[in-house]
Order: sequence, then C-alpha cells, then structure tokens
Amino acid sequence: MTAVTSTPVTAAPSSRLRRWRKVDPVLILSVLWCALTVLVAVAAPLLAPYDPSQTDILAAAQGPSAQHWFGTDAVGRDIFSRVLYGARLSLLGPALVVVIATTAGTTLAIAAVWFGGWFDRVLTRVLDIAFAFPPLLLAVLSVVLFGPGLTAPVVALAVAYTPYIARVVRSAALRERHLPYIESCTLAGLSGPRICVRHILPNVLPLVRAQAVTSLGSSLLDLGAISFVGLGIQPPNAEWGLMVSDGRTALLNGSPQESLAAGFMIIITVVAFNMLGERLAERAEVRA
Amino acid sequence: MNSWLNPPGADPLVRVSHLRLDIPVRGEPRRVLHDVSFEVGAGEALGLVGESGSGKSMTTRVLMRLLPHGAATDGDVLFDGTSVTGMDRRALRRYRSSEVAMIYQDPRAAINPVSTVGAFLTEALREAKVSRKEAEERAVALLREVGITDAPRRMRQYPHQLSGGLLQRVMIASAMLTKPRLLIADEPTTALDVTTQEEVMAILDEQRRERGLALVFITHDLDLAAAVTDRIAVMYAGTVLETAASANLHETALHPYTVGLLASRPSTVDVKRLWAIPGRPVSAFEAGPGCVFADRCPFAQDRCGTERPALRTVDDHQVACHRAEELRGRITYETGGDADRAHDEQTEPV
Repeated sequence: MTAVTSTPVTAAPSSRLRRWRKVDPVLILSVLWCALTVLVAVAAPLLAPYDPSQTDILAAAQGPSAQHWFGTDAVGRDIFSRVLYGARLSLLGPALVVVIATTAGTTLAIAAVWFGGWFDRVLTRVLDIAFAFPPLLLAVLSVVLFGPGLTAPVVALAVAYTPYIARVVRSAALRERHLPYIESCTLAGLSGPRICVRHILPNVLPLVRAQAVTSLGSSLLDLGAISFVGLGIQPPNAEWGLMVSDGRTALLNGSPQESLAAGFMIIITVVAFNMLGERLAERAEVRA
Repeated sequence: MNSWLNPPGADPLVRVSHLRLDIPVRGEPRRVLHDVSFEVGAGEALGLVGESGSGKSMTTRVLMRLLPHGAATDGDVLFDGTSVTGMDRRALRRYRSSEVAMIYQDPRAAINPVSTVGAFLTEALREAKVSRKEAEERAVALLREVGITDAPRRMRQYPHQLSGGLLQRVMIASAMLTKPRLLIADEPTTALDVTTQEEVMAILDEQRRERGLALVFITHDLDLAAAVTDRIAVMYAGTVLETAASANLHETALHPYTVGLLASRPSTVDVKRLWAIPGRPVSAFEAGPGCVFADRCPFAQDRCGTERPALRTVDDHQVACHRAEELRGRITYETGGDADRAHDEQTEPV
C-alpha cells in the first residue's frame, strides 16, 4: 500500500543533457530523409543518370536493369532520373505554400493578439469559417478559375493553410502577450511593431517552425493529389503525383515501377515531415 | 539626511486622490478599487501593504496606466501635477519610458527568455537613439553598481543562465538605466530565496537613496515595509484604511485592521499563539455600503455597516475609521484560552 509513488528524480539533469542522452532514431531518420530529398532536388542534374524527358521508344516499358535501375516508362524515359528530378517540383510547391501560409498566418495572428478587440474577434471568426473549406476543394476551385499548373494550386493551398498556422500561433502569442516581460517592454517605451517582431515572434518561433514542417508534409500530399487528377503540374514535367498517375497503364500491364517509386517517395517524405514536425512541436511544448 | 525629501509645501511627485476603478468581468463592471488616496513625495518611499486581492497591484497599474480594456477610473492620479489618466499616447509613452520604472515580483517572467541580458538592458536606450557603445557601457557600469562583478560576461548570457537573485539585480539595473523619478516595486523579493532577499532589498534601497528616487513598494510583509519605506499605506478591499509614518506604525496604529495585521505577525522574541483576524478577506466588489472592514471588525457599530468612513487626519495618521479617536490606544488583540478574543476596554468582547 504505497500511496506515494516515488518518482525517480535524479537531480534534474539539464534539458540539454537529457536531450542528448536519449537518442531518438525516428527523429534522426526523419531529418536524414528530409535533408536527402532536398539535396536530391538541388543536385538532380548531377545525380540523375539520364535526361528525365529524353524519350527512347526502343527502350520503352522496360523492367529494372543495370542501365535503368527503376526501369523505363511507356515512352522510354528513365524512371530513376524522373524520380530524382521529380523531387524539384514536388518540393517546390509545398515550400511555396508553407512560406506564404506561415508568413501570412503568423503576421495575422500576432497582429490580432497585439491589437485585440474587434480586430481579433473578426479575424478569429474569419479563420473559423476558412477552416470549413477543405484545402483540396479550394485548390480545385482555383484551378477551374485560373487554369492548371503550379501557381493556382499553390496559391489556393497557401490560403487554405493560413488558418491552421494562424490558429496555433495566435494561442501561443496570446500566452506571451500577457507575460510581464511584454509589459515591461511597453513600459520601456518600445513601439508595438518592435515588441511584436523582436519579442513576441522569437518566443513563438519554435511553434511556428513545428507547424510549418508539418504543413510541408500535408501540402506535399495535397499537391501530389492535385497533380494526380491532372489539375496541377502538367506532363511532360516530372512530379511525383503526376508520375503515380502516368504509371497507371503500366501498372495494369504488370510493371508497377513508376507508380510505386513515385508513390513511395511521396509516402516516405510526407511521413518524414510529419514525424519531424511532431518532434519539433513536442520541443516547443516543453519549452513553453 | 532628509535632503531628498520634498521641501514643505511643494507638490508631491505622485498624488492619488479618491481613485476608483471598475474592471469589466464578463461584461459587468466590477469594483476593484473603492477609494484610494495617497501621496508620494520626490525621493520618498511609500509602502503599500495589504492582503492578496486588496488592490495594491491594481493601484500601481493605474499609476502606470496598464489597465485592461474597458477599465473605468474615477478620481485623480497626478504625476508631477500632470494627470496620468489624461495623457495622450505620446505623453504616456514618454512618461512610461523615462519617468517611471517597474520592478516585478518574478524577474524570470519579466525578461524576454530568448534575448540576452545585454540586449534586454540596452534595448530601451537604443530605442532612445543612444549609440550601441554608450548603451553597453552604461549597462555594464550599472550592473557593476548593483553588485554584479563579471558584468561583461553577464551581458552575453541568457536569463536562464542567471540565478533569480542575479536576475532581480539585472532588473534593478534596468530600472535605473533610464533615470526615472519614480520606481514601483511589486513584491520584488517574494520569488527569491530568503538569503538573497536581503541582498536584493539592500541594493534596491541603496540605489534608490543614492539617486533620490521615489518608491512605491508593494508587499505584504509589514516589517520589511517598515524597514525600507518612510510611510506605509495599509490597503484592504480596494481601500486605503490607514497611512502613517513607517517608523512608529507599530506603536501608534489606529485602524483596527492595521492593529490586527500587526498582531497576526509571528515574532521571534515574543513567542505566543498568533492572533488571526476573524472571517475571510473580502474583495472590493463584495463590500457593503459601510466600512469595508466592518463585518470582520470586533469594534464595529451600527454606523460602521451603513456609512463608509472617509480617510481623515487623526494625530499624524490618515485613517478611515469612524471610531479612530475613541479607540486610540485601546485596541488590543489577545490570544489564549479556547477562543481568541478582542478587547476594547469599554466595549464588551465580541
């Protein structure tokens, strides 16, 4: 009968120590994979054995071989090279979405917290309404209006992701806003914009970062889906979502390499971003 | 050495008279301060003493005009003859940045955790167009003055690398940096270790005296207030009940609440059972039409429950009690037996 469960308090190790002691394989793998895909995207021309858009009808629809590691597609393009090159457009879209959404969401959220009152109330309502729109639906609508390609879906998704960022940042900024150090900034005569940028922003940044990385994953999936249904990146460009779609005929003919390779890249990359985002969020929570 | 004190007849630095404050709670205005009046002369130290929720902190927030949305004040808050509540944005910003400084209870919460001590100290100066070099020199010099030896190294450190006592010294240095005339200290030692409390208080007191700063010192420690302030204002339920010179408050307290507070402190010399003021502290908005202390006061009469006593001068004190003259020197609180009893030699114990 022990009412008191003794928690082993080993002289409270410093947070840095604790962080290093526990090696987190998931985190390491996620970071490595994310770094690798970015590297591949940047260095694709150096790494790819073939020109991704060079067709070779004589070598069409081949299985994996020493010349073509992942085989070739229906018009004889090297699938491995296309997967590597595909990293470029597949990552560029999400990066743009996240940069726009994060900047807009963070700015709006901190402004709302700073000004408070009706501005905050109106913004919160608008964000609530924006939540009701599924990002994909908004992207499809945008494509219908502005035509397929990279721009229309990216802009639409950026708009759709802004509320997610803004909501998280707003609650964190609200907490900071009422801490005494912000008040002492006011008393020191610092201007509103300066307090927001130099004091509130750095303190909510860990959370912004976590949210941004998670959004990279989900927007990669969304953009892939848009390309898959033919509303995003257009052939003959290489993009993973588009490649999954391109490989469908071959898939039915018994050579699933193209769809599989591109699909695999999407899945692993999304999972890596999600895991990384989750870990960053945990750290941001611990800090707060 | 009273040279920093005001010459007689001059306007005090701070004059708060009949301050009333309502703050909206779920849309309804709620009374937070009933009637707060006090003065602080240039270079004078005033202690604001009272229980939690008595309105001490709120009073200083009015002084800084740091009030929540929808707060309504009534009465005068004058700084050097200018109404604080009537200042426009520019005047307010100037007043806050160069006339007053505030020291908070928890220094760790009052410094941005992600900026260095140096950045924290120099920011306000830099904003006032002081060169980086000069700002840093001034900051380092002040850190040395508050007893921080390796100042240049400390400037590069982050708040989490400093102890609470050191951080509070940094706060004191930062308060001195803009050369204010009024310092507000809101329980500056409550969050600190007992051993560092004394050091920090000594430094605060020394710095204040050297610079001739006026001080409003919030605490619930009567002894501490008596040691570092010239006068003490006792607050209860959003009202100042008594103001008197710190030196002889112990002997000459007039208000039954003040006497009760004094009687409920432990002493290391005269060890006995502590007196406790009966009942629980009421909030300002719960107080009836009469004296805010009436329902806990052993000496309350009918009149006390219906008519609110105003602050008036009795002897050298200012006291808000109908029976102040009558009870002068007669209030004793006794502990013993099964029940604690209050005695007024002419009135029956209640």
